[in-house]
Amino acid sequence: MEPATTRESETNQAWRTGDRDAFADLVREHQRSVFFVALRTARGDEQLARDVVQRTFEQAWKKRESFRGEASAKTWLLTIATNLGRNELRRAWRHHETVPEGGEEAEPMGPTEPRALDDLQAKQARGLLREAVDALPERQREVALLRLYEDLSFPEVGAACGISANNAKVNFHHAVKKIRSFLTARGVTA
Amino acid sequence: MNDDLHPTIERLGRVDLIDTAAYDDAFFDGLADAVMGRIEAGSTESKVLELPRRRAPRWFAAAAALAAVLVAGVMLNRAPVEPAPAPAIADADPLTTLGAELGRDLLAEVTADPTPAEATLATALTVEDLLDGAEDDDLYASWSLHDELDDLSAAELQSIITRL
Repeated sequence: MEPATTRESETNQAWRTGDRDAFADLVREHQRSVFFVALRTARGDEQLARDVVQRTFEQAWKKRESFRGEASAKTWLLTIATNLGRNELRRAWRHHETVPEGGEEAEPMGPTEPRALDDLQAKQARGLLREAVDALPERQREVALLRLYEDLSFPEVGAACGISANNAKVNFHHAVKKIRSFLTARGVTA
Repeated sequence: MNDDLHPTIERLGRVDLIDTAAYDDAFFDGLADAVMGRIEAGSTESKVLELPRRRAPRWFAAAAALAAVLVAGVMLNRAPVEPAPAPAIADADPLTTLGAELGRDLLAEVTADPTPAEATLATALTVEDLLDGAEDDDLYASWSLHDELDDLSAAELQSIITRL
């Protein structure tokens, strides 16, 4: 687990004691990461992601005194956001609500020679990769998203998902292999 | 982690699932304002008047607890052996009937949803997942049942033990 930076520790001390201005700084500093994690978790549902962001910071504010500073504030916030996003998705599935796919379906590819993922158009690559990631089991999906796009260490990914660092590493390993197999079956090498 | 996966990981990391460029500074300024607005509103709502309370001395609480235990013991000894017949639903007042219905609905809802422990186990790796690629990865040499149990929260462990 990477220790919190000195600058972050100083800021934390301020918002942990109820300083709203310091907390507003924290929001502005980390809201992009929290929103994008929520948006990926929510499969592109912007409204759901915005709701997760608001609830994440509300919980952080309410439980600010429980933050011990052992992990970075970013990891702590992403842990809350991941849990909330997971619960929202499960709730949507239980109630058979439709979760939008973000409006970017993978465009069908003709029976051509295998192409590299890098060679595809951005929209096509994004749609195809989203299909591959969405086909993963929930735990592997969460681990893959945090590791690939937030560049968290395995201990941090584990902390955010409530599993050990070793388990996070195993889940990531399987996730990448499954994504690669998914793409290969569609004529794309990665 | 296998070395041959690293190029794949690098390529995957370059293709984000979402178009982050579509969200500019104005979007996040608005989001930050909304977040802080809700926090301000929440702080205003949660303000309550705290009335001073006079605490009774500890000996009084201990005496009251002892008295309660004694009364409960006496009442249990005087209770009839045969349990009193439960009142028929038809005799129950509307409030009781409504309560019973609410209770049944809640029970049905709880039993219909998976418990957290079951939900966690349902998403755990399958045996095929663990065996898949095991030959070419020394990661599994350090993987054990202890690691699996270590991943469960206290509540999940308690739930499993209770079921067993």
